[in-house]
Amino acid sequence: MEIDLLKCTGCGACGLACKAGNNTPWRSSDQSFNWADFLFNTTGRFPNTRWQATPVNCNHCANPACVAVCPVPPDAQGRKAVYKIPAGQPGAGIVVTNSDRCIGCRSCQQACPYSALSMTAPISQNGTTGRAQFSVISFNAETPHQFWNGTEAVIAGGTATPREVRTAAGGNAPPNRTRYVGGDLPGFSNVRRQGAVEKCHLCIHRILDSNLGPTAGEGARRPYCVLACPAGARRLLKPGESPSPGARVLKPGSRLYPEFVEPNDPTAAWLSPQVYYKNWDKFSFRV
Amino acid sequence: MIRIRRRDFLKTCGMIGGAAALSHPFLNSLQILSSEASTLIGETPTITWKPSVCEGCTTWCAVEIGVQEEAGIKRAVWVRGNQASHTHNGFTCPRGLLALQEVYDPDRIKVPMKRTNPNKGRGVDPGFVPITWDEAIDIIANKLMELWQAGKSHTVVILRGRYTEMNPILFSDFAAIYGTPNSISHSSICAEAEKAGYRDTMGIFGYPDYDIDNADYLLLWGVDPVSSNRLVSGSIATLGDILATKKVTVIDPRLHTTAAKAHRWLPIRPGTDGALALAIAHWILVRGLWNGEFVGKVSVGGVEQEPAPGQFVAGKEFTGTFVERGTKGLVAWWNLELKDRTPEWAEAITGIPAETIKAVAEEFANAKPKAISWLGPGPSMQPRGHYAGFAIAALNGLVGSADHIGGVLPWWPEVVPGLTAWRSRPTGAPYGNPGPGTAARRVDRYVKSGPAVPLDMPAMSKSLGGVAVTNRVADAINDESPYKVEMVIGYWQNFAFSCYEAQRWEQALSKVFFVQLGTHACESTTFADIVLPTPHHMFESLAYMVQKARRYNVLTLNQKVIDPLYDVREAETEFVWLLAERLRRAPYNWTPLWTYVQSYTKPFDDGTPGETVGMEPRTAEQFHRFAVQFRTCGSGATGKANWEALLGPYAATGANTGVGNGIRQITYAAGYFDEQGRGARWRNALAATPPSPNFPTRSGKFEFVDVGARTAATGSDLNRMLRTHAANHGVNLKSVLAATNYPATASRMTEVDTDPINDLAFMPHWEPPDVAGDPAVYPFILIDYKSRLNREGRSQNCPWYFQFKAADPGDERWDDVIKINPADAARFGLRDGQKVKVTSPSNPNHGIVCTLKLWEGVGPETAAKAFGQGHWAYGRFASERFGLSARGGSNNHIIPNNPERLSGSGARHAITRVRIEPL
Repeated sequence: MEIDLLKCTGCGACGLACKAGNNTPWRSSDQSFNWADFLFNTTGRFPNTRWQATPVNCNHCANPACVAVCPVPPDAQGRKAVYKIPAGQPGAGIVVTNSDRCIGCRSCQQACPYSALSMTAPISQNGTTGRAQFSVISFNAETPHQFWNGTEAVIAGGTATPREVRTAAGGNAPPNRTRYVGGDLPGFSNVRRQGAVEKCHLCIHRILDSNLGPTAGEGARRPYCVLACPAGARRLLKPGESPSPGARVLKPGSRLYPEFVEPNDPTAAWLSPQVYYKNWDKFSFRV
Repeated sequence: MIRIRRRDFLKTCGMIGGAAALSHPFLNSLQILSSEASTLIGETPTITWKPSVCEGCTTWCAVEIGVQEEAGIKRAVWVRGNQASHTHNGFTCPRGLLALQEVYDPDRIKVPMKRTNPNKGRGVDPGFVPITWDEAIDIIANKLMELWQAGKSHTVVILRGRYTEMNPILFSDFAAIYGTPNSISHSSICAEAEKAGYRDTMGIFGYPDYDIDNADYLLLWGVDPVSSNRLVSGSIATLGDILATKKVTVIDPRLHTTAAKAHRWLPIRPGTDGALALAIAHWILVRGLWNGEFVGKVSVGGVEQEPAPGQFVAGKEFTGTFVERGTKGLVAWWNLELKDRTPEWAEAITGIPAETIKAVAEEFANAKPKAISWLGPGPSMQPRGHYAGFAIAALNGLVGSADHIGGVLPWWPEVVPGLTAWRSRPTGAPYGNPGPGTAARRVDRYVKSGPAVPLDMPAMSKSLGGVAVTNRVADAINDESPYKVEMVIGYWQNFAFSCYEAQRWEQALSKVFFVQLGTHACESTTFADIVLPTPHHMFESLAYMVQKARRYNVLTLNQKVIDPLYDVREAETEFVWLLAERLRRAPYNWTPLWTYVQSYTKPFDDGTPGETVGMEPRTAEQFHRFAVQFRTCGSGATGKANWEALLGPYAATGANTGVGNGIRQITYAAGYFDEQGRGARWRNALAATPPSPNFPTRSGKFEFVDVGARTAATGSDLNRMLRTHAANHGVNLKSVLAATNYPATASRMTEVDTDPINDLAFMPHWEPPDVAGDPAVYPFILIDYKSRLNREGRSQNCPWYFQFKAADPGDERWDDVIKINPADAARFGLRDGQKVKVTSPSNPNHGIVCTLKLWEGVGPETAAKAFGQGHWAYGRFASERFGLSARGGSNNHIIPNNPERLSGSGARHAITRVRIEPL
């Protein structure tokens, strides 16, 4: 994926599109559950202040740390509880979790340099201490969307309850739940179970859905975040397509604020993150 | 498990193509074929896309709702822009998606309710009990008739918040038929002062379209177009390209998104925008950079000279000959005001360096005529914002961008062409019950006697007193002036939260019989006697909206894309029908309203079984549907064809104009703009007497100032209305300006209205702001702004709102922060992240509570805080404890009620100082 920071206005549509499309929980249990999110940062002193929004999601690294550390033994196809779809297969390169086999050890969450175990515990980046702004991987300590079983009304008898909304929505939690299935992908579901980690799967269920169009990765067969971006800032690279000249990647460890490095920079090359930032230095045009 | 969708199967068989295929014998082989098909992946059931309208802000984007249907239940699961729309490229801003959590909000009102506790007040349990619609309508009808029979129909007030284009049925026609002058819209707390600047220059009291696709320069005044105002999705779509190839300068005391991305950010001292605009105008003239073709040229010895430096000299009157063309009053403006408004003068007032002002003025003018001076609410929605807005709008005249491609476009083609407007109201007795005198006076006039429009509140649109002063209604109710209000019917409004100094509304709504219609329980609801649930207009209702953007005018249908979740009725139509139906029966036997609703006969055959064209509506739903169909498409065969086209697939009906997929969009006729991009009005303005179409000013030209013969009968709208107003009150113009809170202006004026110095009142000029509070006690000027996730005041019960709140520069997720500069924090011993109490002169004790954020995006002596949070009764997420305590703090509890009086607008900018103390 390539994200053009010149075009991005940090509006939040990609993040909301992902939440709506992938039915991720809202922030709970100290987890963000925003598969698509932002690093927002302010630099400089007034009046030479700069503010930047950097959209982030799973980098679908070529050498993903999360897969490396996953202790779940590979299945017959060589897939751990978090695995990378091998070359030559539909969806090649996408890093996917298998909720059925996840043991909830959170090793992946700990190993991923773009993830944080906690959204409130202090972490540091280059000596600066703060709270992580996002985490690629989140952990379902509780059963997601239990809120919708609630029977409390703010005005008894007059306003609805979560349970009533859920019932009116055919039992779906959340009521706006986008129902999708993952075909042959094991342990793939539109709401992940309690005790499992979850993360961006690049909406592989859309990319591989031939009903949405003739070509994977084009037209409607793209992730929700790409489809929703009103600025046209997100683009799914075609298989084998090179990113724009000069595009950079997010330096591993960028959890408080973004640092952009060349893709072959040693700090990033070991992972080889696959989300590229075009015009990474042109969010602002300030003279 | 292997599953297959019917569509996949049919596709496999090469049989996609309709119902006929289903009877094909191959269908029997489904079992065999399905095992050979690939395993299903993707959304299932398939998402279908249903067009509707997002009313999360006033962009009113045409959207499509993604719907999944299972077991007969349709659910909204996703939102995207209408793929056929030219105005926002098929996208929508985050508000569209956020609406999913609004329609499925667990705290929506599900049934009509009646209050059982007669005591009203914040924190008082209303004791609401569910009732039926019949019971509710009985109670309301009885109250309405009791007042009507007592000759008090005028004491009923209708409050309109957000609305659809169907609103005239309740808001205008019901009010007129029943007999009350009190149709009170929210408009004046929105941005009426913004419209005034365009009226005074271009003759249009309205919001123009900005041709951002073709502009070479954007000068943005107090507006972040990618976050709010009226072009949000279109601005997001184009800002990147504009930045890459054009130039953008932002004037705002706060670093907002566009400010962060733009070439220049001018963090101006709040309330001084007028000074900056005047200095830019001054410098454009001094440097000879105005648009000579549009404005005109200096003539020396009968020979017109190209604009050049030295023709206007700072500090000196222009005494030569100026042949003015498309504008009016340039020399008068220069001589009375502009000549002294140097960049150096403005630097001292605005805090913007003179060199920067000069550079911006030159960049802006050099981009003429494709240079937009975009007047946002920031400079105009101030207690003394009128002349600043006027000055900012006037810059478009200097560069000739008004009615020009790449400029400011105040006209657009009609999108409901040739259709009958509305069914007419029945006329004659006994309609219009209010008697003469005070009873006929609209309640926001406030005063009991004297001229109908009070001296201190001219509230001018294109007519004197034309603006309803929304926020004054609370005072009118509380003070029983001009009369005692008995009953209020409010819909999709929450003035107890959304009005400045909102506390006054709590008292006002406690004093009246109050009927509230809406989707959610809110602050205002807690004072209601009857609460009625209404549908969410984006998902659950048929209606329509009209909005223009990017050179198109678009009609968009709101559609019922899911089954309403609750027992809801449309406020604007069905509620009126229910009242009419009840009132015509005994004991009232009052039929005028019934006669009216019956006039909305079935306009054409829409395929609904059991109905005939021309039949009178028998149900509320029929009345509603017939009215929407009639209004959007007309009647008869033409109406039917229009309706079918509107609901059918999108098809072009002309060059870049078309209908279908729930929208009808139309752009300018060929030839409206000539090859250079000059609009018909632009061109016609050049004539001595501009032919039609022209700028609907008194002169037909773009006006800087037009005093005519210095009498009421001639000159600009502003001139005409202010002189009439003065005459009505038997005072001079100076007194009017003093009474309307323009003391500096008044002090420059004389007692004799015909003295030329008094022309000042009709031209853009400098008036210092009116910011409440002693700096020693209240060190910070409050900067109010709109969150890009605000669906007006209604999205704060959506958890996603909090999840992405940091998308507002400087803001924090799951928190409500007030931001000050770190240097100020050090000075006052305040710490980042601490809970603080924020007080103001209008709320010196209680104040509001929120979190302090130290941020370099605001300058010294200012404190920025987004409007939106601080709900004390808007659901479990918006409120800390529903009905009792707020989550965060509402700016409207610390902003005083100090309107801009010339336009009657509620003011929220450069209006108050605040004090910030650790809690």
